Amino acid sequence: MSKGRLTRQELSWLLTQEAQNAAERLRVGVQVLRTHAPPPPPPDVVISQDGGGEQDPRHHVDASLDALDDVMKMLSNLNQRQSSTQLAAAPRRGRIDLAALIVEVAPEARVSIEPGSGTEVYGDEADFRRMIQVLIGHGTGEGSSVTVRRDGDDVRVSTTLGPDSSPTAGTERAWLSRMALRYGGRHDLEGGNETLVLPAEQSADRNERDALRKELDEARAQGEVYARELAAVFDRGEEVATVSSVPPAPGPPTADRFATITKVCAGVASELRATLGPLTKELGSLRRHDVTDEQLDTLRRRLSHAQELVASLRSIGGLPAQELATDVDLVEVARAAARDGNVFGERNQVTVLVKASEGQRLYVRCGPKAVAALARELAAHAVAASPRGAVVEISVSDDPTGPRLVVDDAGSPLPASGRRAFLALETHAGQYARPSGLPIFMAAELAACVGARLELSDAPAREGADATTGPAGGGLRVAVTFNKT
Amino acid sequence: MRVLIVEDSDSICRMIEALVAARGFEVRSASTGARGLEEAFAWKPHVILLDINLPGSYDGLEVCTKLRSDPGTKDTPIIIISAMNDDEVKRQVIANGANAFYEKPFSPLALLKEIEALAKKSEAALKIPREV
Repeated sequence: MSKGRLTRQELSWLLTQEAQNAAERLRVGVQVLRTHAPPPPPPDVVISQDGGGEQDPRHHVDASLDALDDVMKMLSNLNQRQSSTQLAAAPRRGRIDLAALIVEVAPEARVSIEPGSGTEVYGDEADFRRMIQVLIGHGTGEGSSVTVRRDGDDVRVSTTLGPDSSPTAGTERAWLSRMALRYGGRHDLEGGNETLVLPAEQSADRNERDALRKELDEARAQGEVYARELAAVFDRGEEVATVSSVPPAPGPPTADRFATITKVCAGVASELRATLGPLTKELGSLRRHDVTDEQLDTLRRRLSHAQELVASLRSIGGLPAQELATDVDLVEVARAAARDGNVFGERNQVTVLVKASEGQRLYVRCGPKAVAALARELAAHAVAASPRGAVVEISVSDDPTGPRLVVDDAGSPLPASGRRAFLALETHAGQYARPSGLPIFMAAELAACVGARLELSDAPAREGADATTGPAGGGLRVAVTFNKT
Repeated sequence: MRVLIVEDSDSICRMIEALVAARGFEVRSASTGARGLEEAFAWKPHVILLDINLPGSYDGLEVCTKLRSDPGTKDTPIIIISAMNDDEVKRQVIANGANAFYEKPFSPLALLKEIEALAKKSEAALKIPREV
């Protein structure tokens, strides 16, 4: 590297920049000329080129400018690559003390350092070294005088100009000017002094800090918008998940089936109400004809039973045919069914117990009204089937096959051979000394509608069972197994 | 589909990258106008997201003009993202050939929708085969 003169690479960089500017100015100039130019000549006066073909001269200008642009682009890319190579090879990038660098670069120069708050700048040491070399080269020759001082936010390096004998001095000054601009400074030529003004390191620090703070603010604001939208997406996602996992009844056939059941129940309820309603009046008249209390009690019991049946049918008849599935706690369902069962059982002194530990939860995904009705029907049947003073047990468990709701009554056992017919209401339940299978039939239908499976089996023998709590061999077990969620 | 982000703020750039990449787009980014132009000419993205305040020789408006004057990128949709929000800037941006203007901080979902819509149009119009 020559001490004062520019290297070929530095010249190339400078000339490319100059050429780029010239090309831009040329294009702008052509545009201006076109806007003021007279309209193009008619085709018959267009100058013919060698070999024929009529061509508009404007196309030549455009083509030349485009070609010039291409060349500039290539040169610019070339220089970008060169400068990046240089950067990679640069000895040091960071805080550079210009005073120390001047002493190192030109030990023979008279360096005067004026007191100030520092002569450090930020950048590539190699670049500053070259700039100082070139600047000192413009000085008065051997023993030239260089002054470096802090001036506010800038560091000024100036030299007294010597005799301007170098033919390349103009180019070098242009290069210095460009380099100074690159580092956010400037190059001044005033009187007999040539000065490089570069932003002091602290000021560069401050600018960088400001830029970073601005970027941080922007990023924070953007991040907040992201977070808000993300939260909204999550919210919507939950809604979407609820809606998309709704289908409690898989496909129209089940829904149709369920609709049929509810219609049937509603119809039966209406029919029974019409039939049993007048019975109340009839009971009054019967009393006037000296009917015994025993007969009246029997009538009242039948009437109550019929009214319970009506209530049960009405509640099923009022179920929505396409109920939305939600997470339903089976333990809570069992407790609610036990409460209802105990109301029915009070008359017969039958107790309904739930076998579940405190705080136990077992969730199934189905229509909550449907599953509540199902459990209520099973409890009602178990109460009706159990003898006076007996205990009905409702238990909930998480089996490997799925969550289970089990109702064990203390009534008469139902032989395995008769279960299918009993479940299909094809047999008279009285022959097994059991009440009507209608509630179990409805529970089975409801179970099918919520995707669960109902099974009948013998209730297990109970420890400590006696005459008051039912037979030790147990009565009927009705188990409903739900799909795993 | 390819999306080029020309943005000097590293954090914003990464946020947009994450947003766009999560949608399955191929993403590249450039932090200066010159690098952005190089990428645009060589990589031929379907959509370009462009900041206005860029360091170096070319700011976003100049990049936009140069992209529009090049036959290879003259139809590529350009979405400007900027903190500068005065009407004059917006008018200038549209006059320079941009397709949309988003003010920082922008709604990521709205931007994503815009990108998807423009990218689809761009893909249909350009029918540029992906590089293997």
